[in-house]
Amino acid sequence: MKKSCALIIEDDFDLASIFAGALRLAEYEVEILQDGRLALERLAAIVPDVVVLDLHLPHISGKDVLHHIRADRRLADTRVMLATADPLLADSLREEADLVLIKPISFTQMRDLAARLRPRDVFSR
Amino acid sequence: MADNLEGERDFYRQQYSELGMRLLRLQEDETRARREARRSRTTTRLIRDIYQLADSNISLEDIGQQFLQIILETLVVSRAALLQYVPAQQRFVARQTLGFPTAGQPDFVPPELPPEYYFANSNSASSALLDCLRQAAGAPYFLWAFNARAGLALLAANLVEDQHLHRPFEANDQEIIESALGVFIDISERKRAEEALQRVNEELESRVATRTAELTAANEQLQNELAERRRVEEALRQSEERFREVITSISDHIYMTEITGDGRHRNLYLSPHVEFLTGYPYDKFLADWSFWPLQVIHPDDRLAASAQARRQAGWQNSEMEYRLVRANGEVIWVRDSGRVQWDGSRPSKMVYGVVSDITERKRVEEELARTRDQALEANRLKSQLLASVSHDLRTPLNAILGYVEMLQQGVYGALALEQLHTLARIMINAEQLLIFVNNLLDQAQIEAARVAINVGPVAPADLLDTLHSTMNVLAEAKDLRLTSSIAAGVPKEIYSDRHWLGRILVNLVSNALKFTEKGGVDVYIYSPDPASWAIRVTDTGCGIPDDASAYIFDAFRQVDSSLTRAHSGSGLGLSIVKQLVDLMGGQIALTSQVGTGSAFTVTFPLNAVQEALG
Repeated sequence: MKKSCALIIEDDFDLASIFAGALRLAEYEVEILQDGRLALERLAAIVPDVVVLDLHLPHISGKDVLHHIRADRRLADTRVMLATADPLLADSLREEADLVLIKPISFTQMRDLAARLRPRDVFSR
Repeated sequence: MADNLEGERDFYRQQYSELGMRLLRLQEDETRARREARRSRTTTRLIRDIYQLADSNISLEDIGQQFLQIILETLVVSRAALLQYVPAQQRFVARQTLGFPTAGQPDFVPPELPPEYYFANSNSASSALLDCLRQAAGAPYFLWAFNARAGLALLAANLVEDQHLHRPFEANDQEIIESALGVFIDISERKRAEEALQRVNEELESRVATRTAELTAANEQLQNELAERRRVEEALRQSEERFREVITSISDHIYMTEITGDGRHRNLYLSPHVEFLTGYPYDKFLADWSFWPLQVIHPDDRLAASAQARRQAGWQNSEMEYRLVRANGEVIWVRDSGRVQWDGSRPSKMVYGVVSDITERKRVEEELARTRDQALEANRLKSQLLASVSHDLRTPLNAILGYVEMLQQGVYGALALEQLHTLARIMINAEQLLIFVNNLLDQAQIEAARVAINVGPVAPADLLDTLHSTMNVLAEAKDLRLTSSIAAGVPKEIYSDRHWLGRILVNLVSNALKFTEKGGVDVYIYSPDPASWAIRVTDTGCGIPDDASAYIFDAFRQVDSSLTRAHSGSGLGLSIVKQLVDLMGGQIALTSQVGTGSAFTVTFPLNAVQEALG
């Protein structure tokens, strides 16, 4: 079975590491980026199954990255999990995101949710 | 009243003088009569002449005329008659008359009387005889002489004198009075005058007495009024003195200003304190109203003060605070409050005002404002600090928890039992620390009234997932059961604040776990009625005594200090839950039995928006 691909866009090193640990445990291949601009460059090259997206990012905001993903037909199947500490901002983006997670997000929470997103991919393919 | 009195006095004086004059005249008459009485001795002689006349053989008619003439002249009478008794006719006939209207033809008819009237007792002036003669003479008073033997009588009437004259009777041997002379004088007028005078005098005296009494009463009343007026004046003076003392003793400056019809101001009264207040002499202010606004009011405040004067001219009471520059250059703050009044009798209005020195109050106010600004700044800094502390404490704690979980879940390979055990202890302590930090920050936020309720759709299942992800580890550490369930009929999404619902749940469950040693904690979400939904957290812990339910929701309180030590905690959890539930429009209820366990139930309304969303 081909491993699913997850892109974590998060500038906090610890959180990124923990999310990565959780996603790996949920059988994802994980890539971490800490900058909005780098994320957009990378997204031009790959099509991840899941994107874990922080909203407060250097250079280009998570909100812009989200808009970009939703505007790119190539990334139509990519699931986006917003991870933010700002519930108001999160609410405003609820329609565009597949999942909205309010920080703090625990390791197990992330692992379970990521695992929940995976099976549909498997069956829908 | 004095005029009346004077008038009355004049009236009596006049009356008295008139009566006096009358009396004087009467007295003069009397004197004259006395004189005439002396003259009447002459009359006596005349009467003797009559006797002689009667005895002589000379015809009465011959000498009668001449004789009567002499009588008229001597006695100064207007009429005289010589009567002769005619025994055959038994009556008098007039032999000669003089002064009667028809002289010579005597109409003088002597009364017809029986002779005994004339002779029986001829010396007496019997009233009947006198009346007859009076009638015969046609005069009220007359002089008469009678010679019984000769049967001659002489009447002289209309004497003007009113003196009663009489000559002693001359009696003969047979004690028969042969002659008598009497003058009867009517003094009735004098009597009447005297009586009138007497009456007038009496009346006068009575009226004088009455008037005197009245005057005495009036005088007394006047004295009383005078005394009353003096008393009132004294009271007024004392009152004014007291008022002056009060005004002088109070430290405020009091003024009374007149605003004339054309809008000019004039000081009518100023309390002496204005000198102490400003340092300028009193007279300067009294002489010139504008000295205050133009010289004493601080230049920067003059515009506002003149606006106040205009408002007063426009009938507005006013109260304002401004600065004064004292004579020595010192600047003080005053409050000037003026009340405008119109006394109704003059076209001008009056302003009654008080000027108080409020320099000290202003200083305190400024200090307070400064302190308040500092406090506000300090509070702002505190909030800022709180926000950064919140972030700085929570972020590393969350990272620690994340890494521990990673290790536990074997991301880096399988671990030895001791390693897992140690990680569990790290996990539990970090989790407790996180709850504690969160509670402290929540409490600070609640105290600062900075709790924002952000309402949005919340799935009860998500709430429970999040709860388990943080609480499971604490339950497992104490080997307790932690279960949760959602009743049928609870909407998939509830409209509420996700963050604060999470905090409520975490606090209720961590509190339950803390006080439970055996058994476990069950979380149940249900809908008690169509209009509400509820969370019930039931434990099998030590329970809460009845008397504690009153303060169990107070901040920093725990039921038993010995328990607090055993269970370590801030005592904030339930207090925060209560306050959050209140803020979100819900209710919290506690049922508990000591030794068996407790159940906390939090109920929220299912609002219209949520129902509309289905």
